[in-house]
Amino acid sequence: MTERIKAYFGKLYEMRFFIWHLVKLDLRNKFRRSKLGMMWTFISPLCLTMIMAVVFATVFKQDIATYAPYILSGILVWDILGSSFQAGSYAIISNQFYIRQCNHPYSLYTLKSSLVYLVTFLIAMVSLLLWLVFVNPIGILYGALFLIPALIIYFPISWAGTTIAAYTAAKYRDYPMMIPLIMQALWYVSPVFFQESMFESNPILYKWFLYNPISCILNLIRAPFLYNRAPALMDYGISILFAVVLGLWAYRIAHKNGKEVIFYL
Amino acid sequence: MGKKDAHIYLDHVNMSYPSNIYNARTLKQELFARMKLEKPKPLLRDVHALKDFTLHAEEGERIGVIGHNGSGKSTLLKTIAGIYPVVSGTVDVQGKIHSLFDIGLGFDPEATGRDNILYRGLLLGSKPDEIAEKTQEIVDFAGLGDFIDYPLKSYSSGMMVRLAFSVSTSLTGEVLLLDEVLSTGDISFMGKARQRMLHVIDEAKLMVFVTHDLASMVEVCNRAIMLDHGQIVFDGDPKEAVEFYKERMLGGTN
Repeated sequence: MTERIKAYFGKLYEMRFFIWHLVKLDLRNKFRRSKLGMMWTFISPLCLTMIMAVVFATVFKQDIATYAPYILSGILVWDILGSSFQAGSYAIISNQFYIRQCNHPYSLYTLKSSLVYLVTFLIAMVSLLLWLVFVNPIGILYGALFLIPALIIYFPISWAGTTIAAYTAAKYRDYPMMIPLIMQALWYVSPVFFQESMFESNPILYKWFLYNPISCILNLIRAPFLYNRAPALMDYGISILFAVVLGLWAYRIAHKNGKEVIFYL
Repeated sequence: MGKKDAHIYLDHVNMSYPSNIYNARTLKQELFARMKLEKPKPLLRDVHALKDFTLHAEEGERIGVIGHNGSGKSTLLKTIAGIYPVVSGTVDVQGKIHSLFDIGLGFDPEATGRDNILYRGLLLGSKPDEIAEKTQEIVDFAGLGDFIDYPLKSYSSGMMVRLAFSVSTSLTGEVLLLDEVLSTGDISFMGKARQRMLHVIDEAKLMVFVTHDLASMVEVCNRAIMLDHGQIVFDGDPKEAVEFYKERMLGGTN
């Protein structure tokens, strides 16, 4: 078993140049012939935040200076999850030409997609830093301390999510149509832009808010960057547990469907 | 311990294309069939592409694979390459595989010819510095001139083929798997492409060559197998294989 795992990761390591090339290609193709290019990665969430902050600060009577970074951090972290489960659907399907020619591990393609989402997240984080320079510069220092542990948890969550999405979508073509609806529903019951106080009116919703793994995943970034403190141990615990459960699920799906998935392409 | 000789051992291999994929029905078809508004689609069976297939190939062998369309030749190559899974039996391949099939697929039309050389090299497992060393030779061989720095979408299909062929044959491997790629391109390119292919074949320790070009098969192979419905019906000398093939095809025995 250990030998097999070693051989598997050894093969991935051997293909590291190809994986990195696919990551660069993906990012380049996304912004090809665009004037602003990669800058859209942080301009887009920044503008979306401004729109949402103005609307929601008016509706919920929130202080825009503190509410805007709350929304922005929510959008950035949500983007990794959303991309993994939605765009990740195409991680295997869109690489079928390579799959038909070479016997490389399929996880190479899911790994590449999650690396793209991670790089995109890191570039997009510039928008949060820009905002914090004006409203909470100390948060940048705290954030710098806790960013790496957050990434260590985000990355396996993203890879596992992409793996689940990629295999499921290759077999069941309804998945890419269905998953945006599920993600949209999750968005509304998670504190991406709703604050804790907004959940307190309903005890069931509040309980869900407290134990929702997405709340904990969001806190890994929000606590240091916005509130100048370390994330709670419970946030780490639930996030790691979520990553492990997702990882086991992804392993099971990849193991069960294994090579058979080529017949669905 | 010395390095093992290259070999391909296929023992009692069964490989099928699962029918559940072709038989999948949409919700509309399902409902209409139940309501008897639509005749249900007849169910297809699994396509049993390789049947209890055993083949042992040792280093030094150049095996030509012939047979009618659908006899399982390409499936055999992809099974040896590990691309298709087997239902039962064992596949044991020793040596670095260099597969040359579907070589025109997977190029990036937005990237330049030069970039695509890098991408293809990486896909085939080379390192960037190894590809950098070979790039000029590939560019010269493909003979694309200044077009090499243009996006691929500006290429004609012939130019695409030349580039694909030049990159794919610039690398070598121990176990060479070929599907009909012996010469390609226009008349000016065909001659040198053939020479280059013969060089790649020479470099390989073991080759399996699927083809309908019987003359080429006799020229480059020292063993031939003929497939029929996923089974070997002839295994021996290439010239005799051609006779057997012609007799069987013209005789109408299928």
